[in-house]
Amino acid sequence: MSTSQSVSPALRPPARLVSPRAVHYWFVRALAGWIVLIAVQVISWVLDWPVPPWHAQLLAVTVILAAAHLVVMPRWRYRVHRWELTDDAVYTRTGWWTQEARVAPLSRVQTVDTERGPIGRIFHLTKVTVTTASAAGPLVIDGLDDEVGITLTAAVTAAAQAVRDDAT
Amino acid sequence: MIGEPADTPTTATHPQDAEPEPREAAAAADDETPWRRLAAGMLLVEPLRELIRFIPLLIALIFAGRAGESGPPWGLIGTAAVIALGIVRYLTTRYRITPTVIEVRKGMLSRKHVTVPRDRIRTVDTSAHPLQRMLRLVKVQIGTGSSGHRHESVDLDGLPANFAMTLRAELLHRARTQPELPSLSAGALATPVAGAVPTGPAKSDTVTTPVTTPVETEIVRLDPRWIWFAPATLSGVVTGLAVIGLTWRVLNEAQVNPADIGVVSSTLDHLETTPIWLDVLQVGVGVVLLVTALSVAGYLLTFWGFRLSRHQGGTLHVTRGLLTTRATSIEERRLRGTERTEPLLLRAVGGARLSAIATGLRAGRGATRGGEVLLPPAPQHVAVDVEATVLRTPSPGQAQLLPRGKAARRRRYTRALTVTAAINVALTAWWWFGPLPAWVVLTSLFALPLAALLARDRFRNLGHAVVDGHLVTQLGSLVRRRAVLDEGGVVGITLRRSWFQRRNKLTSLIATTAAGQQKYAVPDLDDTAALRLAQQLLPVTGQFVTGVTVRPDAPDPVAPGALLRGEPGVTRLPA
Repeated sequence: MSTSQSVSPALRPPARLVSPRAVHYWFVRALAGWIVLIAVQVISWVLDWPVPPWHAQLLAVTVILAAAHLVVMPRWRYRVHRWELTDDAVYTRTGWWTQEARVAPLSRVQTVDTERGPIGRIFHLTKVTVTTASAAGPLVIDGLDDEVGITLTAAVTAAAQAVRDDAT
Repeated sequence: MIGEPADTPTTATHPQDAEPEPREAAAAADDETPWRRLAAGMLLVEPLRELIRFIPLLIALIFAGRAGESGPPWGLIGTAAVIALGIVRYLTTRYRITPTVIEVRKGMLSRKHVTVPRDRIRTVDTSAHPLQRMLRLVKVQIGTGSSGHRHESVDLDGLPANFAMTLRAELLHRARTQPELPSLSAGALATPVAGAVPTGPAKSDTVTTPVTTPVETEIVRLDPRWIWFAPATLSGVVTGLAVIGLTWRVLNEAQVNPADIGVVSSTLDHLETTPIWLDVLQVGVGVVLLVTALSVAGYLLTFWGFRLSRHQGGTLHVTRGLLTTRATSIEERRLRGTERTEPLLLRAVGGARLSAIATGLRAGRGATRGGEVLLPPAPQHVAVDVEATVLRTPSPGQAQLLPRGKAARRRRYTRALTVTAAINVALTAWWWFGPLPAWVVLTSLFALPLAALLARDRFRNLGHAVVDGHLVTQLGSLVRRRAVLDEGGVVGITLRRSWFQRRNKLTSLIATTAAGQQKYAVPDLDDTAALRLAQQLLPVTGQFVTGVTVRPDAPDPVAPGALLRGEPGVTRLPA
């Protein structure tokens, strides 16, 4: 804390950002979740269910939380989500409140999956998942421009094949 | 031997007939290898096992029949159907072993055909429950070593024991020049118990035949005194609940009111005559005795005859079980480390368990959760010794672990106390506004010091080291785990930081691997220590680490503050 200037090792961020459209994508995705929650509360209020008491207050809290989440999360996430492919490794960073940096050597890569969900398709965005032999910790790059996604998938697949070993 | 009514020339079940076939068949003869059925004894085993499973229902039927006239005997019809299914399963299951593959066909309505190339076989495990042991049959599970949820295995439930042992040895040690084959042909008829795989209770201690001794070294076998560690594992609690559940079901089916049973009602009457504090004491002692008895029984059932040995062919063999015997082998090539587990009570009495971290092992439940057992609950020093022998180096087990810093300690206390305090506040509010009695709130206050103790222990147990090419990481309090993981087994690194961790310059490192629990965490390292460790475990991480000038108060380029103030983030875009 006392050192004002010091050189210490740090993890540099991965070089490439995801598509700027990902901000809208995350917004819509989160909005869908909040709408469901708010709809349930409104219905319970209209039908006057006894189960959640304090309908108005609860709804107010939910709306405030939703608004805060929708304003902060997508842009914060966009600053965090990054990826990089080098000659011998894949490197990703994800999250917002809790952030995760993941590194996997290409020699340990087993599969590369491409996925376009219903919301992702609206924004022409692709999710690329790079898995290793471990059931834990696949590297997920969400919100990639479709074309970048295809290129990346091909590149990782080719590179992984070139350096492939037993992978476990 | 029992009669074999279903025996036809293509369903040879005699080991002496079956065993030479797969070995001596030429590669070209793949198509001519005959399909075989499982041992005919399974025709007896399957229905009997189903009957045993239906015992509660049958008891209920007897009671119901006595109580009065009822409808059609559904229970009997169901049992008959299940028996018929078992017979059909036997009749429709066929397998064959060619020089290159193992094939299994099963199912009547939906036919299933599984082919496993022999060079993909990683594990060959055998088990035999008491019924099978009486008929000298075993279940063989052949695993192909895919990890975790993608695991595939082929089960051959009901092979003659001798044949199964030959098969197992052959599949696992295909590269070697099959030195144990003479022992099998010599001993096959005399003793069906071959090598390290006991199929008879009395013989399990004397099976080390002269022929197998030179190729196999025993690492450890069960010391009966270890059974006194059983109560400390509290495994009896789970068993106790299961027994109570089963009893309840039987009584329910039989429509018996528990209070009508002599023992129960006299016990209840007795408790009514004594003061309440004595009741609590009596019930408490009763529960402790019951849990102890059940734990010991469970330990005996699971671990009796436990033996761990190393085979020259490069495998570790584990055999265990009192009634149901199991034999598991772990290829050392697939071994990535070991994990020592010490639940709080077991740790208090100086005990520990040891399991293997290996790829391609089923992630089981109970005793085999997180890896095959290398040592049942036993004295800690034995666990350390076995660990050293298995890993072929004592240093990871003896390594002095590096403690974490002050921030990590603070985080342990903050987390434990915040959660407990929040619960306290909630309970107090409930008492203030609602019907909660005051003594609940007062009692809950005792949770605070307990939480502090827990935090203290959790911090003291945190530690890691990199020794001799192995990552050692220890964590946990209620269950302390110390994992030793081969650096070569690390297939990825995750560095996780929550907002609180970023403020405190802490990073949790998670090493992912294809073995055991798939990931092993080193929580709350200082940022720089985490980066150093990451580079050590996975050198490719180095290219992403830079020595940079940092102002302490700032900005990770992606800090939310930077975002809200509109400062430019890192805008370095791809070339």
